Amino acid sequence: MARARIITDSTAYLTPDQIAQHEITVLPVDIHLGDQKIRVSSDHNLKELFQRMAADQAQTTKAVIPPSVFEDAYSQLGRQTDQILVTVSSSKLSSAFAAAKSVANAFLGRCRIAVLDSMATSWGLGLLVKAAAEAAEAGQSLDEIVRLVRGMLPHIYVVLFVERLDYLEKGNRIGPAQALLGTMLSIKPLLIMEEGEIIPLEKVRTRANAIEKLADFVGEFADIEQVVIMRSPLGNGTELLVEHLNLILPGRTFPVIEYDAVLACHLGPDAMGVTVYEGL
Amino acid sequence: MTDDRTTRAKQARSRSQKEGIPDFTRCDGQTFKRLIQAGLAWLERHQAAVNALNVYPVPDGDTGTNMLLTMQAAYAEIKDSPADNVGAMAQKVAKGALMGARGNSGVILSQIFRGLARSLDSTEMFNTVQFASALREAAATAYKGVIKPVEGTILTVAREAAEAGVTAAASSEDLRYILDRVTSEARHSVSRTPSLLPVLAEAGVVDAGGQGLFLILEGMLRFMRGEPVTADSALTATVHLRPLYPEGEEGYGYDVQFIVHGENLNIEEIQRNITAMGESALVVGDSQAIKVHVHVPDPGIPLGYGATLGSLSRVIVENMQEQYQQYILSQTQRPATATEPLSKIGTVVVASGQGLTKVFESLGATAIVPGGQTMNPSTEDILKAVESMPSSDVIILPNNKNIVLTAEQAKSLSQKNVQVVPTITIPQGITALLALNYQADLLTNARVMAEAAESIQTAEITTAVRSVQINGMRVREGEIIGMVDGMLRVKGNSVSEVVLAALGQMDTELYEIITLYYGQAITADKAEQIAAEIAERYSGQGIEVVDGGQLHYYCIISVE
Repeated sequence: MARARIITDSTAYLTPDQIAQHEITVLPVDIHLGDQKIRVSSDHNLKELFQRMAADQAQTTKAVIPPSVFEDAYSQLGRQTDQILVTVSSSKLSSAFAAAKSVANAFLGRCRIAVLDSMATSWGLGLLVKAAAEAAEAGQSLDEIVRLVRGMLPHIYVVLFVERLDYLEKGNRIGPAQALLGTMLSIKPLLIMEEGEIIPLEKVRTRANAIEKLADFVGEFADIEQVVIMRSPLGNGTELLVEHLNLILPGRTFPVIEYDAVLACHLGPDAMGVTVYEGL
Repeated sequence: MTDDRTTRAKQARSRSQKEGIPDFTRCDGQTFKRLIQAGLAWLERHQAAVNALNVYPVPDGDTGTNMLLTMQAAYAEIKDSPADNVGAMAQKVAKGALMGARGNSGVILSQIFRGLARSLDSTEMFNTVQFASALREAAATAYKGVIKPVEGTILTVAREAAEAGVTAAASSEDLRYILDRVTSEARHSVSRTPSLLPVLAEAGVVDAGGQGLFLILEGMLRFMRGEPVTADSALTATVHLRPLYPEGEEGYGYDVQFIVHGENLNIEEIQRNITAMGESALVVGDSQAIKVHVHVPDPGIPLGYGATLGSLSRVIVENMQEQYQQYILSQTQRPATATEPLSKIGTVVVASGQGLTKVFESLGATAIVPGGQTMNPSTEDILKAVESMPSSDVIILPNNKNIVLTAEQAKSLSQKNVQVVPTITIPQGITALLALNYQADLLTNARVMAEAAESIQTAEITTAVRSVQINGMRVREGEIIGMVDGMLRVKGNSVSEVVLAALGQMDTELYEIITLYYGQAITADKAEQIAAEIAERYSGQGIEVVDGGQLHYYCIISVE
């Protein structure tokens, strides 16, 4: 029996080497920004998307992978394997999961396709995909891989804050009155990802406070395998956050990555946050 | 009415007043009512004088008015009561004062009545010894009601006056003598307050709350001596009071109903027993099934009794909301709330001004109790807001130092899980509300919100309403003054001058954001102009201008 293969989307934080080495299929995400469409493939420079977002008022956004793209991917991989794990960005944040699921049934009997809601994006999603790919290479079955990934899900935590409120308003995460007043008071909401959805946690008024809250969040964990800092490619300073984290977890390194296009759809171009992986 | 008839009516009234206390060695419920009425009237007459004793030259919740409103609420509770039992009357006074308490002095006054009622309990009539020990219990209860008791305040006056009463009661059975000694000591105690509290000495006043208590006692003494205590009608017109509770039924905490099914039930015996347990007893039925309906302080008693007779059905226990504090007064344990706890935390915010109200609303405040600087809400106002919300966990943000104690009192009367985050300014309240974490529990939130409130500084800019010397600064009426975190720190001739001076005292350059909430007294243009002046001086800080719409204060400014 051929080893299981993994399909994900371009929000997963993976290097080209990792993608090649594990033979991971990475599908591009289409970001609709107002009436424009920008295709974000894994090697796409995110900066262009963020710059467009930053230049203007918030527009309606969505992140999409058409079902036909999954169909093509399934047929192609189906020639090499009879087990496929599909795990793309959180079902609450993009329609890719629904699309992946909708066309999987057509392959029943020919190929087993497990579509698993990652409830993550970005570095968290990349972590899941890598673990799945390694398990597949070790000869584990699709069921075993699904169990492994499911077990990792509850150990990934994401907290972010945003400076601009208009994307939260467009996404109906805050009301228009709140957005107006919040902007007036330069309020920065802190948000947490819970079961794949972005949920308001609390609000602060200064950047220093927001950064402190991120550090406090990290400080609450007893065990941490990795902390990753997420920021905008337009560049907001992470020195202060690193300073705080060094006090909490001395001697560690904290990779700084740019957050992905799907998160940008919901948070806008100026979010900053952390991903914490507790380990298993 | 002719002059002649007025005179005769007055004479008759004065006669009946004296007749109301034929025996000065005992005081019954009706006499106690007249004492309260007299204390109220005498305080009312001197309300303006007590208000004038306020130390801070800011438009504030005035002590005289707050104590008067509290007394009025207490009296409204007993006005029509025919009770002869002085213990029962004192309970009602305590209940009225507790719910009607406004401001710190009002809350402490209500605690004094609570202690008095607790000591008198079910006493039919009190003698001098009982009166003295009730006064002592009253003072002790008042001390316990405050987290950090301060000497040189109404607390000291209550304690020293009570001690004088205890001494006097050892040598006399005449209540007039006791009250005379108590009142006289209260007067002396008030005159000593400046030596205990430097801020009073500097301002050249005595403690307003202590003076209010002295006046209540003096009014009572005047009544006992048959001297007039009528209030000045011009002053009474400024205070309005609505009835706190529907008139009528009094005194019991729970409405209990059930049907008991059994064999050979003795309806007459059950009727007798149930009637003895409480009020409004209704027992109907036959030897197989009897319906019971009774109002009792402890629902466990009739239910427990019913269960010994047979099996119970259709059990209904209703907390008679407007009377439940009676239950707490009688020191019985609080019952657990019957409804299932809701997960979300409700927030009760005290604020006034359209703009500020909108700010709090859009930040997710569940209920806003109108009030603030000059209008201190009563315990009942806050309690109603707490009780009316769907959540069982509630956080109160008083946003004024003279409302914190009232909020604490509302907390102690509510059966919900209530935390008071003691915010003393509007910006503290806003910062605290922002820090509310929807996922954290009540206690964590209360802690985090209090920390957030303390992390900011507030300046309040207003006009001095009286000339006074305080915090080493001499202020003339009409000058523009700035309070920093509640302390008078700067003065000047223009709003912007005082704003900049206040910011100069706040280490503003160490903070990130300056927020200016401008009040009704200045225009948006003027506010922008002040903001521009601030920006010139503090280029490293962000400045936000918000229409607060508050009264009295030109602007409220926070740095964080």
